[in-house]
Amino acid sequence: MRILVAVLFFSLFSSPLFAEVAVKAVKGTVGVMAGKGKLQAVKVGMKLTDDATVVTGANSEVTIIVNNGTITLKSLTTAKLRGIGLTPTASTANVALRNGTVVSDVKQITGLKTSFTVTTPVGTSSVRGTTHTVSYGPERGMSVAVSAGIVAVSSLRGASRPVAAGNSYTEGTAASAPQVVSQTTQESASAGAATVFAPTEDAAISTGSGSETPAATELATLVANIPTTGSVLLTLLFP
Amino acid sequence: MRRRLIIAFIVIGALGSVLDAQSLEDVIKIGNKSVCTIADLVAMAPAFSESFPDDPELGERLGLELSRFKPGNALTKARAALVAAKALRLRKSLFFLILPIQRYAFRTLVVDGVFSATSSGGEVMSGIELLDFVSIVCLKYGSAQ
Repeated sequence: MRILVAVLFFSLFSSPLFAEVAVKAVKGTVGVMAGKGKLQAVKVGMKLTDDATVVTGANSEVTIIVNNGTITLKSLTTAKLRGIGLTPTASTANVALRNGTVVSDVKQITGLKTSFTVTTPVGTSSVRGTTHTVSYGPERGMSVAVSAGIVAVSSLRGASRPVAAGNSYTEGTAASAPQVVSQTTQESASAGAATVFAPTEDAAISTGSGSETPAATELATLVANIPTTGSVLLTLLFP
Repeated sequence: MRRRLIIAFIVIGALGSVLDAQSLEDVIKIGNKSVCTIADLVAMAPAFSESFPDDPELGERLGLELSRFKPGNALTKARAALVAAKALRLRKSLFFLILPIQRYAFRTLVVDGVFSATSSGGEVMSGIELLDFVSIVCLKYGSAQ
């Protein structure tokens, strides 16, 4: 009898019986296909089964609660939910993204080993308590932007690499190497480019040179007083 | 000329009837296609209209631009770019303003990041590429987001 109870207890808590996949919010047109079944409309509170394929229409999105996290599928996204499981010690979930954008917010719970992965045709993003966005398109490849926490991204062509909060990762579909870019680097790079391509006066101001000669001041005054309208003669030669 | 006008009216009428309903069956069907045609872009036209609620004339312009092609024509990236750029009235490229042709429409969208710089305007779009194209265009230029 004890053995039977123990087996029942073990099977009850070790199997993914408590895996919860429920729809939290729906905007616009969203459908779900269970396996190879018929497409049906998604409503708030609806329970989704494992192996369900969710499709969102234009200007639509759906937020789904998956175990200890939520995922939001943006417009024109097709994704499949796989391997959803929850035990007292572990939580597993996988979103197979075919195209579109998935925003995931996974909470880190002490004592619960969380394995939440977003898989695209060119790579996999694994999270353990974080907020991040994964988008994939055949034209632009896989793009991972991390808002909080750390994500391990592994491409099909290379080793796994961590992407920390504030950074983004791009895995192109072409032969280009994957790139991890920090947002601060992007901002400084764009600021640098702005300085390089800015007019001379602006560049002098931004670099703080301040050593203006009287001739330069006079020229600046002249330029400021000249009307900025004019005409451009464009000659186009076609072969 | 008269034939084109008739086709334009038919396309505009067809677009008007489906503008309010983006069928998910269509989205799935298109997503499974390996080669898309102009007809598939017509089927995705409601997506544009839903993402640009501030532009009620967008449907008409889209219909007019789509009517310039036969529905069975292969949907190349340059054709999709031309339809989108003209319907959305993109004025970011001087060359496209002077010569509104497929080549410069495609280049405009490459600069905007809609298409990859390594791709070619002559490539025929697959279903997923079309969905991705519509999604990015709506996200980049749309007013509903």
